[in-house]
Amino acid sequence: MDPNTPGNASQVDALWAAKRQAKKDKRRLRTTPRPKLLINSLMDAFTIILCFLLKSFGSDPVQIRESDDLKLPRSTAVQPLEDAIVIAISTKAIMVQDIKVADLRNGAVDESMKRDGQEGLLINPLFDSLKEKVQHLKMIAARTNQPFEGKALVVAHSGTSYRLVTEVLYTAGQAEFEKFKFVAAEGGSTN
Amino acid sequence: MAKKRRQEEPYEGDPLIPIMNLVCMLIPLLLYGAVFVRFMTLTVNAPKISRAPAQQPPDQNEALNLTVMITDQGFHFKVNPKHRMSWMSQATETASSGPDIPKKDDDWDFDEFRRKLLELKADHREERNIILGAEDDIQFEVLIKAMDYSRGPPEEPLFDVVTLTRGVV
Repeated sequence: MDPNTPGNASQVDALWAAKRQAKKDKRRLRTTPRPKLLINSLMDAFTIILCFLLKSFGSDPVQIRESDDLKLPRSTAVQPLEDAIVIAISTKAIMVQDIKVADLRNGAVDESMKRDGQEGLLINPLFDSLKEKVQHLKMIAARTNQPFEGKALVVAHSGTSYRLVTEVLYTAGQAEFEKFKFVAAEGGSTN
Repeated sequence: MAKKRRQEEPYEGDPLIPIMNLVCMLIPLLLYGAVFVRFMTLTVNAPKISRAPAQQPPDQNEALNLTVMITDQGFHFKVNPKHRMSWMSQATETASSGPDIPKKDDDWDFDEFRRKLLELKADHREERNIILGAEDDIQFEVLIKAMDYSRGPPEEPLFDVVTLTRGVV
């Protein structure tokens, strides 16, 4: 192709102009504003998670957490939790309001911790701890002109022996607790 | 010719970022307090500790005095002799008699337990009390299940006032 011929010259000009335009476009594209962080979809996901968590936020008067050592039995009971002193019996220890008061060995309290030895029912450290709670609750009841109700929630691992349950109830009874409720997880079946 | 460099605009950030920070902090906080399993309570009367029979002498009252003992063999029923059913053992000591409802497939027969309770309830509509006892090594979940069956459905309760007794009598 000879550029000196008139027809070919205009073609070359057109090509040249197209090339320049392409360069211009490229430069223009380079000057587009820097993209902002795209977090809209992340915000949507977080909002959904937030709503779900707000809905499932525990509004119970006492906080109970299951663990490998404290798996609660399932029950068909419908009574909700109420505010009371929590006595928890896990596979390893007895706790009062989340504070360990006695260790368990093979699901039983060591006889040295009992008032009357192996056959005894009263667990000394549990009794002392509950007595302290009772005094505190009685003081609050006196100041607020409310009667002392002596309510206790017994949160026990599903594999706890009946013997240990009765020992705990007996000890709590001796420490002036009168009303007991067992705590179980929702979801039992009687069909 | 000196090339004029394009001056970059300062990046101001997304206005949603402070909200994102807040949400990110709220999520662990709410996760900590979230409850995925609901907990319920079962009312129980304080255990009668003596190993002696927990109620009045049976022949001195008209009440049913229903007592159920859970042993490794099954369920043992005791009632006021005036109201004793034909399927109940006549023995006064749990240990000296076989269970009224033996275990089935190595598990407690709770369906039969319910049937027997329904049978008793049919004859004693006003009665709500039951005394439950168990052998020392019976697990807590078995006791809770027995309490569930004893209580019955909320619309038609059976024996919903549960008192525990120590061991088997």
